[in-house]
Amino acid sequence: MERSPLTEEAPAFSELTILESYAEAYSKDFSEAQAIDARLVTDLAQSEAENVRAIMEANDQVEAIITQLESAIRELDSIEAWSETFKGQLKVIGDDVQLIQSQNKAMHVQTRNQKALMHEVDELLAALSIPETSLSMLREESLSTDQGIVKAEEAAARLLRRLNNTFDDGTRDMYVVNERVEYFQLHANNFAVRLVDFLKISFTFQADTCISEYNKSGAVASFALNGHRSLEESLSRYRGLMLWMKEIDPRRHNELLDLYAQAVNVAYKQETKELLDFVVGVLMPKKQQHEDTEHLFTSTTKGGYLPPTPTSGGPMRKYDLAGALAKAVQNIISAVVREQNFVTDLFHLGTSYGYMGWIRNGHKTVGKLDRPREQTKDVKLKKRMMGIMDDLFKGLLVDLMASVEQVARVSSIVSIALLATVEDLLQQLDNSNQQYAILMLTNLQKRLANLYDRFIEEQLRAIEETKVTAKKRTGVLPFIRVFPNFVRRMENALEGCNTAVRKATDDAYAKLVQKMFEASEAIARESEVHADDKEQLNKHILTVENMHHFHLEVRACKVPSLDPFIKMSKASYDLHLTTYIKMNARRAIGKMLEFFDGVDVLLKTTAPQEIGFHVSYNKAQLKKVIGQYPWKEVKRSIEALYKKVNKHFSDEDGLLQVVWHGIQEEFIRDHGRFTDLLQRCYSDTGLTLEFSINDLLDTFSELAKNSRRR
Amino acid sequence: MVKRGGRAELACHKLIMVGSGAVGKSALTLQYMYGEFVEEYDPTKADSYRKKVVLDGEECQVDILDTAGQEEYSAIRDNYYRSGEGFLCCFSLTDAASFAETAEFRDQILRVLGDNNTPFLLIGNKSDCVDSRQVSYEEARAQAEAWQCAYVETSAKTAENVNVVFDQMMRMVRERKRTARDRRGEAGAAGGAGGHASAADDGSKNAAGGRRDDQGKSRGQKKGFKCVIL
Ligand SMILES: Nc1nc2c(ncn2[C@@H]2O[C@H](COP(=O)(O)OP(=O)(O)OP(=O)(O)O)[C@@H](O)[C@H]2O)c(=O)[nH]1
Ligand SMILES: [Mg+2]
Repeated sequence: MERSPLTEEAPAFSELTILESYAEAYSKDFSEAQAIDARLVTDLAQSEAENVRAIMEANDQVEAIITQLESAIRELDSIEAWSETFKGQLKVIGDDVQLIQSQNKAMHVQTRNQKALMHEVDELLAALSIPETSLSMLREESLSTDQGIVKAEEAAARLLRRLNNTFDDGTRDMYVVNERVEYFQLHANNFAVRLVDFLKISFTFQADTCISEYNKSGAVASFALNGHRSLEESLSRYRGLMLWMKEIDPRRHNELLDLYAQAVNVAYKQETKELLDFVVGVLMPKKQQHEDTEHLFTSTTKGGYLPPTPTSGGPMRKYDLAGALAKAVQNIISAVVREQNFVTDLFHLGTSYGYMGWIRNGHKTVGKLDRPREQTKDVKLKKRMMGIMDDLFKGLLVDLMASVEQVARVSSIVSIALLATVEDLLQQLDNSNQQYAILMLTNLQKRLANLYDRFIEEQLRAIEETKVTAKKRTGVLPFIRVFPNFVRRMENALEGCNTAVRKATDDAYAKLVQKMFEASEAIARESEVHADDKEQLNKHILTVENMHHFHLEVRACKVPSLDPFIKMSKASYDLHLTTYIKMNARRAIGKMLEFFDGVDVLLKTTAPQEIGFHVSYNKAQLKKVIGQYPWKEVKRSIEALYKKVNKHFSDEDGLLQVVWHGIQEEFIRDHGRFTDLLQRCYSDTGLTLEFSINDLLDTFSELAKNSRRR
Repeated sequence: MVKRGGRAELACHKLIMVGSGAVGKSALTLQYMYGEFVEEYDPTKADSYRKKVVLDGEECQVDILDTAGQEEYSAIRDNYYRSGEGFLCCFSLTDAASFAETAEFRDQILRVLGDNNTPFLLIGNKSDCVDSRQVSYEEARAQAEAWQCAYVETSAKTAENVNVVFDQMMRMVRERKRTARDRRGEAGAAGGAGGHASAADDGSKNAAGGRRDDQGKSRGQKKGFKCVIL
């Protein structure tokens, strides 16, 4: 077969060679064709022979090939047989491999499962085991040292973590699990019991300490409480364990809260009682009755002059009862506010964080305790808080009320100062978390406002009564005398106050003043019909004196709401004083006044030089009038008048001076007017008054000198 | 669980509110404690309430533990259950799932207490929600019958039957304590009520059942009071 390309090439080559040689021969000589032909035949025969030979040779080769092929086939057959067996074997091996593989996979799963199981068992064991040291800490660790508390907290956390585990149903039914859980619960309960026992004693001890510290502190002298700082500091250390308790045993947590409230209530009760007793007992004026008549319209102020007392208008006592009680109430309310905040923080009331988180995040310190906090939206907490606070301050409101009543009985002004304080505190606590303090204050406010209204009514009635009972209808009326003192006391009590009681007081002033003005008017009217008042002067004297006093004293109080009344009193005073003066002047030089008043009237329609032609105002009439008032007479009248004015008006408030000054001025003015008219209308007559301005002035100064000597 | 504190003289009945979330356990408790209905829903963790009450002319204290309905079960809950002397098992009449879940709560309680004589009441709450009712009276009563306990429908909103269930529960607890005490007295076992509260809970079922009967009769006369007597 390898030879085949050669055999194909060889004829092609030879043909070419033959053709070439033909062409050569053709071109050379046609005659040689014969030779060529012969050559061709030989060549053909030769190539035929060669072919035959080649075929003969090929046959041999085919046979060889066939034999070879046959052997190859045989070999292939055997190979096939081999591969069959091989395939069979491979299949067997493949199955084995698969088996092994699946076995292997199962083994993997198993190991994984086993690992998981191990892990779970580990976890379960961890969940079910707790170091014995932890448990003994819960049993024995001192709860009074900071270090002990921290250790106990850690152990308690470990225990809680075990108890917080949630087991699935299957696990929970396992005997060992049940047993362990019960074991933990036993330890938890034992520790809870221990904690309650310990804290119960702590609460009482701390509360007792507070009481004795208060007694030692002497804070009572400044109407203050001492606070519970040492208690707060000591108990705050147990906040972690309180939270643990809240989570593990809410009933005991509640019980702790109760125990705390009971213990601390004892302290507050004693402290507030001491404070209130001190304020009421030590500061309550012993001679209240006298003091009251100075500034109140009581029925004991039965008319007539009251001796001016040294305290009236003077500075108030440094610590008057009102201020003291108000300060005490303020301090008590501050304590209530602080306590509510503290108890909220100490027992984690209304919080939602858990113990584990609390331990993890480090210990939170208590919040700010002194300021009222924002009102909670938690209805449950609000309700509960009221109960807790009531336990903590049981009896306080009753004690406060009792003190208030006691004080109100002797001094209404004190209760007004208190009302102002209470209202102010209410304003401060408005919208805060301090519902209990607000409730207490609201109760106090209601009671005090009630007392206040009653007090004002009493005062109005007392004024009314004075109107009827007043025997002596001269001088400053008792209520007018009392009113400025009353106002001063009220203003002192209300200092800086801008709450409801301020308005109530302004309203009360208005009512009282109106009542007083009415009463004094009525009394003045009454005095007109009095027998010994032939001159009808009493009404004016009374009004002048009272309005003058009112104006002078009330203006000094500087109460804006009283301004209109001050103006009214001034107008009334002016009017009645002028009338009084005029009436007295008329008595001394009446005819002359009449004459010249007539001249004045005439001058409106008549020329001055024509007055003298008038029948009633001619020279003769003038001469007659002038003649009626010789200086001797006029002087005597003035001296008598001086005596009379002295009798009418007391020197108190300097009113006598004012009135006399007015009268002098009146005389001088009249004298001036007379001389002026004489000059204008009667200059041709040459007539003059019987006395000169100097006569008047001399007499006035003479009188002044004499009275000073007296 | 020996009672400590200053009020040892006063009998204190420890009740527990159980049931799924939002069924009204807290609302019932607050209605009973303060006579007010709380509209807001604020899931509970665990709260304890205490109040002095006069029960049949006798002063005593009630301590109600209001538990979380939404919490996963843990050993702490076991602890809560152990402190209970009477169980108010609540569901919402407007929530069929909560009714189904009462069975789980009952199982847990029985498992922890290992005793099925502890006073137990089935309570269907929100009876005011007539339109959205999902649990029929008959269904619930059948359940209660199977459990041999009483069934009462309440509304924390209108306060219907609220005092009734708490009073009834306290009577059951009181009765059971008396029986237990009598028994101990008979056996001459003095003192030693230590350990868990449930230790004392071995009172006679008959005695409790008889009393319940009396209760039911007098109550049954009241209009609208639904109570199964067993
Ligand atoms: N109409 C109506 N609503 C109720 C009644 N009782 C409770 N609710 C309302 O149902 C919601 C859930 O009440 P909760 O008392 O907080 O429920 P709970 O069972 O304590 O829930 P958890 O503390 O999560 O277990 C509140 O919005 C309640 O106002 C009821 O008798 N009638
Ligand atoms: Mg709740």
